[in-house]
Amino acid sequence: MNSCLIHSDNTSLLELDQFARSDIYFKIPKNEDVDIYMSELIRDELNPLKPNVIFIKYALDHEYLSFWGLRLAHHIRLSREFPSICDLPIVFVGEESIGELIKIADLYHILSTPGIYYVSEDLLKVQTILTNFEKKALPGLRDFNSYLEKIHISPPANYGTRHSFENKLAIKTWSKALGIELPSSTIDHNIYFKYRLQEMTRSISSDDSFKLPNISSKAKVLLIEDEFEKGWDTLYKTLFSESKGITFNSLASEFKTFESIISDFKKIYAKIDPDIILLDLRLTENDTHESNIEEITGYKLIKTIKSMNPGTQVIITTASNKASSYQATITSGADYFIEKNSRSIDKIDELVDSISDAAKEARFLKPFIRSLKNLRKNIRFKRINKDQDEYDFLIEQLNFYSELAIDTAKNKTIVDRFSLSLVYLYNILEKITDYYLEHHQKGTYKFRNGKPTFKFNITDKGFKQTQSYKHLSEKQKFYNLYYYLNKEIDLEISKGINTLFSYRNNFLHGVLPDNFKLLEELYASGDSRVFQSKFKYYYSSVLDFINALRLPETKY
Amino acid sequence: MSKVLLIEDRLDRMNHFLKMRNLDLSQFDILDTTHEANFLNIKQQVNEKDLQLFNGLDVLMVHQSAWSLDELKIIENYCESSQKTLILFTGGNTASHVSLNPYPLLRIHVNDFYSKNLELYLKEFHSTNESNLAILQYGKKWKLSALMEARNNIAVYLQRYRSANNFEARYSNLEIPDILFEMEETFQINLVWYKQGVEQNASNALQDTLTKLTAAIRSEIYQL
Repeated sequence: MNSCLIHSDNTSLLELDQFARSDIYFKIPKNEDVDIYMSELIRDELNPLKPNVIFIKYALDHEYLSFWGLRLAHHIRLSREFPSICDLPIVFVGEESIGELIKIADLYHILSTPGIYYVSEDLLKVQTILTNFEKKALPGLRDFNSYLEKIHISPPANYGTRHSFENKLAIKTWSKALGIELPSSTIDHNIYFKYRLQEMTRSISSDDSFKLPNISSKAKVLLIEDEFEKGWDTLYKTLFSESKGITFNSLASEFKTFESIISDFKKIYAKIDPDIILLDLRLTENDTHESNIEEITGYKLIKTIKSMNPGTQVIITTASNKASSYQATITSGADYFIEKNSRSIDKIDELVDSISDAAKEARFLKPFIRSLKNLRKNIRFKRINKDQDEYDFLIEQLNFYSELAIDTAKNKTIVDRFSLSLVYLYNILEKITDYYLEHHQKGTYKFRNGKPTFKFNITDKGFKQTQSYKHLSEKQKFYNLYYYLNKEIDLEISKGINTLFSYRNNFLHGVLPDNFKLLEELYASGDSRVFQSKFKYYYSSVLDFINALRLPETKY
Repeated sequence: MSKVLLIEDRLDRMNHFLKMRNLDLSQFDILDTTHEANFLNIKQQVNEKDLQLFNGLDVLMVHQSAWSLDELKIIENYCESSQKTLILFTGGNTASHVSLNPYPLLRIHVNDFYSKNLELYLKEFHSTNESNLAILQYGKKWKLSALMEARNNIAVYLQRYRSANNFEARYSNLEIPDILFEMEETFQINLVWYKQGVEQNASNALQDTLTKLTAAIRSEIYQL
């Protein structure tokens, strides 16, 4: 039987022979961190002694109200890397009653966990308890979960420190799941960190190796995370190592102020044009004291990113689990929200799914939105008359429907978002024809400046025009418009408009020909290339048509 | 005249704590607080190892992270040689810890530092002209620390030397915290036996003191 006694020369147990060669003197060096000292004491002094039972004074180092003994016992239990000592029976020694400890010691919960015993400064009682240990009548901790479930260790009161802890815990948990060894740091010794880490990783068995995903989509991913150099960069690189289509970068910034981060972000944005941004919310020192989410750097960055291209997908990866953070970021434009410090490693799966999904979204949304923004830039048309209000209204309508088309295409809650988005683009064409053409008489149309309309017969080889005195179909209106402004008909553009016209009618009238598939079906089928090429063909038809109508000097 | 100097570089954080916790440090004329300009001036003087500006002070309260290791060493050496009390507060993740030798040093988390305990500590300092770090560390509970230490020491003493039946011989081995003598009246603890020297038959007196200490501890705890 090897009984170890941890004391500060403040116990009568030193009189007993059983502890003569197995006592550890506890004295925290002047400038040493308490938790680091305790961790090192366990590693360098307690573990080599190979005891069978550990006696600890409640009060150590003459700081009676700190109850370092309770803290040290927690450290022993949480030091799972030392399996021969972490579950040993622990006997607390002191005059303190359980009632007193419950009232004044923060870490008293350990007293009610299995494998814990107490004795006062009474050598007869100590002898009795030692005899019981000799007979193996008093067991240690048999089930670590029964300890974890009964204890509570408070997080740091300071939000900044707590947030930093949660972030580091997430790195540790995720890296453990991914089988990555990160270099140790001083925070590893902190008692709250040890506790939370055990709590979060107890369900991860060393046999449960996480299979690195193979994300089939192509995407350029940018990480914006102030602690990217403290493990996140390595972790994500490992996570994407089997996904050949994923290009990963981290924003290199000092993360001092919002302005400096924006400046660094714009540089890398111009260089790599990211499809997906993994964004932490709290990025600067000031963020740690900020309770108003709208003032937090990450939150403000969402708006900047979305103003540059709303198709860029923003995945919030945060150590905050506040429902208000989720709500506020999603409302401000973030597309996904991943809670990094969740106890479950399912969050890694959730992140991978989000990236796959975001890659698919960004792939079609970014070029779609960029094309629409280019179209609107400096757009001007030949005026049909001198009425400024009518002309301004046309431009207003163009902006309104193009915004509506964007908002609809990126709104995943709208079941037929792609088809509807095309309908809104088509509305722009209708508004332009309304500006140039007017109903004349008996169903005929004329240009509003009195010029006549024609009936166009378009074939693969060219087109023929004849004077028209009959009702003009929508398609004939578009041909007239094109001819009026360009003095020719572009066969490719006309073909595109015809195809879009058919798609729109099929969608709106709900009569779908055989082999016809709505864009939504193509998207859901998983073949994103077919979906992307079809969608691009349809919206490009409208945009090319409108571009051809604008004044030559404003065409792009 | 100022006896305590609070050297803070992060005034925003300090003001945040003061406001949040409704603390008014301006009521203590024994306390001087740095502002940004004189913080830089102090830093320069520390680097030049010219610490005369600390000469009239008893206590230095210093934000640990504002200084390099070399600068901290200079401050610590100065406190050791002049036996001044040093309080290092930090936003890191350390637990509060006090050491009295070779000079009084308290390392404390910033969250615990900017608290009502700071006001209690300064009030006590103002009225007694003595720095009682236990007040800053434990607040209203501070007396328990001395009561519990005394109870433990007497219990250990009784166990160690009961068989020897000669208390007097080992009398020098019994330590009673100095502060406890100031609490004798408050808690009706009679320490005459200690002051006059432990006699052969002091066992009863020690046992009686133990009982009174336990009663005092319980009384203090239930008042928290």
